[in-house]
Amino acid sequence: MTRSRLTRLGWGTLGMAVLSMAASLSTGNNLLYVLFGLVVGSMVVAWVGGKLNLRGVAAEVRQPDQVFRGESFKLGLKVVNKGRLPGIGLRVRGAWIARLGPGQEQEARFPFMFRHRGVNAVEGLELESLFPFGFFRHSKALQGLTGTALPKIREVRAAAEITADASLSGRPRPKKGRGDELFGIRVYDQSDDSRLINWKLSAKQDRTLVNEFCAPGESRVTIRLENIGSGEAAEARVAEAASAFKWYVDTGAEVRLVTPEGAVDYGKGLLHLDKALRFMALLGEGRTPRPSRIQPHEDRSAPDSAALRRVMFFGTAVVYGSLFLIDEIGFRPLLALAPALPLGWLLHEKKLWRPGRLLWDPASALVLLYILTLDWRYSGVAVANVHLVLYLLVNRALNAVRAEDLRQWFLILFLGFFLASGLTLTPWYFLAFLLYLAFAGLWLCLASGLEFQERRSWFPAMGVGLVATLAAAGMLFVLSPRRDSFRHINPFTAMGIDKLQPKASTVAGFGEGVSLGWYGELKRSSSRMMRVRPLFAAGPGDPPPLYVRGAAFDVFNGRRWSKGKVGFTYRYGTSKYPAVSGRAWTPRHGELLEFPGKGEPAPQALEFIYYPVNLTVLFTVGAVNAVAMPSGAVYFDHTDSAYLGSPYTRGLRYNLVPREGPPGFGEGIVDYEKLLQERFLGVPASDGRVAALAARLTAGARTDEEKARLVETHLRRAYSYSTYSASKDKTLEDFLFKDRKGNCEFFATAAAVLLRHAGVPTRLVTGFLASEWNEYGKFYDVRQGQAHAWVEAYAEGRWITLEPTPASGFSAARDALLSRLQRMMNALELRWYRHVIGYDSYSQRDTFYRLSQALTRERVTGWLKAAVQPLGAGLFLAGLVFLAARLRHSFKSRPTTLYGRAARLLENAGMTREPSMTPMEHALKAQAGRPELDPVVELVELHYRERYSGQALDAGQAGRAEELLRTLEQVSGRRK
Amino acid sequence: MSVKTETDSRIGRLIDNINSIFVGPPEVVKFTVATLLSRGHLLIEDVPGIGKTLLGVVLARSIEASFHRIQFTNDLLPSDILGLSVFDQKAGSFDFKPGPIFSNVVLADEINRSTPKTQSALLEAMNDMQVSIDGKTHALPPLFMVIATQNPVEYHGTYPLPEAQLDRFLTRVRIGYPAPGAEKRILREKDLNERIQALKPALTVAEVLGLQKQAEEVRVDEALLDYVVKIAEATRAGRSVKLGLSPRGALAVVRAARSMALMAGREYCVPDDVKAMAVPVISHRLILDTSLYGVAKIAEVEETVASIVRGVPSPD
Repeated sequence: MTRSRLTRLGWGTLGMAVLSMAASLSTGNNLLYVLFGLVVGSMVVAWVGGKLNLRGVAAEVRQPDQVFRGESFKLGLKVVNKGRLPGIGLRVRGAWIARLGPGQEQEARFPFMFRHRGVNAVEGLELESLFPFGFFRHSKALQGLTGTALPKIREVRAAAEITADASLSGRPRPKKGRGDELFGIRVYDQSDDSRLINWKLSAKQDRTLVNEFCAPGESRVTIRLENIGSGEAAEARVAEAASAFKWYVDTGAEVRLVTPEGAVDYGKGLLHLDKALRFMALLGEGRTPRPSRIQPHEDRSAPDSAALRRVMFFGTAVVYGSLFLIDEIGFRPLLALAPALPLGWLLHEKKLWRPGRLLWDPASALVLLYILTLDWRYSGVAVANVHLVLYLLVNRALNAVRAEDLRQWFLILFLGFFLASGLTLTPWYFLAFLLYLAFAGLWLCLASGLEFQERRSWFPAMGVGLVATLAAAGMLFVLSPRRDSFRHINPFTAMGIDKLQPKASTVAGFGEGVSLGWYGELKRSSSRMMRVRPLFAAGPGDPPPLYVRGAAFDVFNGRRWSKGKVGFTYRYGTSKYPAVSGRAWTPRHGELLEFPGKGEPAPQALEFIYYPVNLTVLFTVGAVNAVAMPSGAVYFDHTDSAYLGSPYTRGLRYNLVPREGPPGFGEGIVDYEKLLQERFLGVPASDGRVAALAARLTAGARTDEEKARLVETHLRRAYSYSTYSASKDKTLEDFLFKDRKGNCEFFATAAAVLLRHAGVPTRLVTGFLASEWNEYGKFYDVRQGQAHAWVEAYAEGRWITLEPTPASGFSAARDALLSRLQRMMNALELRWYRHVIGYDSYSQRDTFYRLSQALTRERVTGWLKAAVQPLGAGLFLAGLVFLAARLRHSFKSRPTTLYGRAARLLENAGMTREPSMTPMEHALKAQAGRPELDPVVELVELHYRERYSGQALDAGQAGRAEELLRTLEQVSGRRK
Repeated sequence: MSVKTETDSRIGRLIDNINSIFVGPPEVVKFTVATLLSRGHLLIEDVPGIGKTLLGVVLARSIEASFHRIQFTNDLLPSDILGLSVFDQKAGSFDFKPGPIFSNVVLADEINRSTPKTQSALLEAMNDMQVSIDGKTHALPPLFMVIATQNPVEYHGTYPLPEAQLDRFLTRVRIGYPAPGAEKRILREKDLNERIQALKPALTVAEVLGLQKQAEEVRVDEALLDYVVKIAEATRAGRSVKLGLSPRGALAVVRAARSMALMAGREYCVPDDVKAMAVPVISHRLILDTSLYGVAKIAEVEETVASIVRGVPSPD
């Protein structure tokens, strides 16, 4: 059973998860959701991965042959991976295993002592791992480890010390002749060696005397061990018996042991002693395993801090780079601060200079003071936070040395990335995210003890973990609930990390005026504006993009379009009304608000649903007959733009009834021609270039419409579309004659100005180009980023719509590849804004709706039917590949050498070979066991010749070998 | 193929020749012949009266070599072994009278009974293959083999050979008491001396020298060298071994294995050769750890070596 405990790092990460969850829920910022997904995903992967890591790893005990109770020795622990997944970063008492592949084994040694005699169960050993990310300490108790201890032997110095029951049988008779002990003195005999003569005594006694030596005789000893009992007394008795046994064996006697549980017969020598000791070990309580616990050991080895620091610098670079993605932070100050990083690196690596605490502490105090008091007020909370993080980063980069410092640094990097996630929108964030993921994964693995040098062994596993984290993060991103209602009061909004709020300022373009160059910013927003739902059955396929008209402008001063408050008179039926402050209020008939114009109402009505925005513009499509709204008042002005009486800050819903006829409300305005000439022909003062261009382009055109189309086509062909205007200072002349590229406002402005020069009344129209068709809900999803500007020209008595902006891929650039690339980038960018940044609760509901729709029965069966063929083919192929792999494996493992095949045959016949047996010994043993296996002996001889003589077998010998193999095959009953 | 039949038969004849008179375990004769072919020296450690001298004599006669027996006693002097210079009054110069060591086969009986000084005289001569006396060096014969005997260590009054000297002997064998049937055969046979005199040689000295040269050229595969190295490492790592096999010992194993291969009629070594010679070559070079169990007896050393070899996986 694997136990998992959170480490300190794990607790910290849990805190980070809570922080990012709170931030993302309260602000609805999707990149914070991404971060949240990352943090939680990595914890889940750490938990699951860690458990899988330890699965299948088991251990066995290897002890030396003779271990005595109470004796300290080195216990060998063989760690084996029986599973199919490698075990990475394993730690067991005293040993560190970087990678244990499936089937591999490794041995660890540590000092141990058996507490009991006999069978000891080794307890308290645990296999630990911090892999993959060090959030959890997974530990698995190793069980089933047993070892045997022999009874403790006491050194006995003399027979008198023995307390065990030892009885000698038979008298030891000394062997006279050679020996150590002096037996006695006797009279000299002819055969005696003259060296034995005891001269002193002989001189005294006046006859020749010799010393007689003898060796102690062999005796037989019986040691009795009655009534073993239990507990310490029993141990003492057994230990005494063992000590006595050894003493007698050392003296050379034949010793026997008699116990109530059995006996060890007479024997001499060390082997006999060994046998007896093992027997005594298992007496009484020794048979049942008794626990020997190992001391708990705090294994805290320091991680590879040099590599950690290096990786830390990489991470700092990543987070620092991601700070560049924040718009509010100036590009230049960031760049200016950048050298701190390489400087920190150099100072660390070369150990040149470490600024002391005396320098840092006052500096930190000053900076903190500045941030808390002044910076916060000047730059806003968000930027102040970023400044703080920046300072901390620089501080750490120049200072951090110890392990705790490094952890702190990691935390600061996370906070920095957190801020970056909250304050940016660009798709480049994804790259930064991937880099951060890689950095964090690498750092966490290194911090949990893995060595950078051994990276080959654990990089693949880490890679799998990172991919799994990415997948988990993605799933969490899609599934985390999006609530719109928490946004109002919370510290995160105060911090300014809620980038998604449709602030009134960003859609001010539909209010009073629009400046050149403003559109660039708007394009990056993906907040939803409205939905437009056709209330009629659409044709097959996706409907084309819809031009949703907002406000039109008539006055252009060279930099800015605006609208004048023009007084006019308008009529409904026979009544005439003045437009007070330029507003012509529409009459209400029940639900309908009518607009003037020629033509009957058309059946293709559209439903408009607005999200809450602080605007009053009423958006229309084509020619409007009426608007069906339960309440509220609507007016139009001289530019044919419609407005509500008050802003729809709670959203709005209405149906638009179109008209069969030309668009515009001019029908209802008195003296409309005069209005046109007055309002829609004004051109700003400029050098003559624009006028000359206009004249040139429209030369040869006979009607106004022709002129309009000529200008439109020219702009589309000769100029390129670029998403961002470089700066807000670009003028129309810059666009027309210098850069020749810009966004839709430039195109529209250019068209309008040129046509006005050519005498055609023209106006700029702003609105949305609805291109996102939701096929499930059957509506257009209109987002702020789809804001668009185009042109309306009055030709031959009616307003026509012109689109001077080329489709974003259509450019004058000669390099087709570049334009394709640009198109691809634009499409990707669009997807980023739509699916990631703009993934709000509506999107979520949509996704679930889509899923549930997709998983309807008909669809699923439809899919299955469609999938049967390719699936079947796939399965068949997979089966072939699998079979081939198995065959190849068995083919590969089939031995090809002569001896290999012979050995395999012998094995099949039941004759296994022990590793220390030579092939010939094995063959002879097989022959002895089963005489029909006789050919194997000659076969081994031939094998020897082939293997050891340095020459290959000649044809005759090879043939003979094959013959023998065939005979052997028949005889041994070959099994596959 | 031709090598096989020739060498095989020649060596086979030698072995049969020896076995016709000497009654003992067949491995003893095999190891003796292997030692001869390896240019090595043999150490027989056993009780008296089991045919050690007989073995030496029969071996010498079978290869038509000169034989001399030196009985080592406490008072044996180096000159008794090496020879001495005698002053010849008539010629007025010193005359070198060679000692018994100047023979092809020398039996040094009870070598552990003489003083270390005498022992080293013999061993140095064995090592240098020459004798220096009074400034003049005299080479020993090209075919030179010493068969030394030693009484087992327990007996009093001996100077046991230290480990460094024991190393000079290629193999150590024990003859042991004969099996009952064999003992009966010994008792039945008559006229031992006459039979020895009547023994016809199987090989000449020159042929033996040739065989020694052939033995040096036997091919030993890399895998077998690895095997020997593994065995050596295993002896050093064993828990009960205080001093393991030295590289000189490993070399000795390889030399002996080569001779074994030649005796089997092959020009190449196989694992069985190594395994066969392992115990006799290694067991006298080890010192066992006696701290727990006291002094180890010879049989235990051999058993230990055998179990160590059993623990080393053999090459295919």
